Amino acid sequence: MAEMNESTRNALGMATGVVFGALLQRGGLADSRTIVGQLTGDDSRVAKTMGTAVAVGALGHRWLRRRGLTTDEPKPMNPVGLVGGAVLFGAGMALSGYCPGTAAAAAGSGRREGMWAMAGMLAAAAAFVATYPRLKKALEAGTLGRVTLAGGTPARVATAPLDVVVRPRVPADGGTDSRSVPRRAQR
Amino acid sequence: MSPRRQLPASGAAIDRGPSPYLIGAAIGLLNICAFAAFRKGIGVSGAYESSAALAARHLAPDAAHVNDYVKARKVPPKFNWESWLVLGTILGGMAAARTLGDRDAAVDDRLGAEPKRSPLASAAGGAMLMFGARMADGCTSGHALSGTAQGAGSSWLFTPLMFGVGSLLARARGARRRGGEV
Repeated sequence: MAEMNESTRNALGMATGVVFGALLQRGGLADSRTIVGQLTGDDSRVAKTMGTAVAVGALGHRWLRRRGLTTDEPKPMNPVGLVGGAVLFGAGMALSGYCPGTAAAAAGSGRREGMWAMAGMLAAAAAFVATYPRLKKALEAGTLGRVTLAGGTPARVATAPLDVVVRPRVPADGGTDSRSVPRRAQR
Repeated sequence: MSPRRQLPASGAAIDRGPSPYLIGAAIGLLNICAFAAFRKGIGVSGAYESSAALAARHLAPDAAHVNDYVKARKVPPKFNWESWLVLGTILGGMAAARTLGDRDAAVDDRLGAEPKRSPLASAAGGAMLMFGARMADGCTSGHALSGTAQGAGSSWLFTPLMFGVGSLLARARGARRRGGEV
């Protein structure tokens, strides 16, 4: 399916988003109190929903990968970026009661706080764009590359060693990029 | 431990909507479709970054150092399927709330005045978490949903840490609030 043209991809992305947003809203996840309730231990819906989604997704991903229908795209193990980012993210989630996806669903369902959260997110994304050239080095310091948990540590399964982490994200529509080739074929 | 959320004394069970397991399974299936169609799982925060970069390029390319940004990222920002996915998420939330109703808002009314978050808290929290998400290269979708499903080490570091920090702070905040009330 990698050959689909860009407008098809965009339309499929949009359709995926519509279903995603509707599911978040139905599941009560477009409400900041559900998320804060999970964090304080008063509501377990986030854990139940996400746990199930990850389990189902993991089975499906394995199945697809064995058939060469998808690829591994583990995000690089950059300890500084990940730890710093997770701390900021957790704090922001506790304060706003949202995350980027649930805020979009909340804004759509008419919640003001979702719109405010999205506004803050866009502002911060702009700040990140402005500072990224200076932050990049620090964020990627001590990187371990694209590490996966499966089968011990087939670390940097991808291709060459460390340089993979600074390799640019291949454009999503590039049908001829390395991601179209099943990883196994590269080894 | 914090007390359970106060429910109306009438004892009438509040309809909390479909089972979270059902919703979770459906999200998992949707993500499988994404893995197949895009060779990548659902991710949300990246689209905020590319949209912000596109906007910055139009509005204030110099102030935002967009050229340096593009050089560092090595790919120019694009309004791609992930950006459409975020627009779709807004529409999906809207469609579901309009057609099927917003159960939690109804619960809200019955519960009476539960304090609402101030716009400042929502925006500041949103800003903090988005900066964090871009530092970590993913959020609740890209890392916690899709990355963990692929067994990515980075996602399994990010996800528990992020929920742990959030949990600590939310509990501390709740305890301080209750302390003030009592």
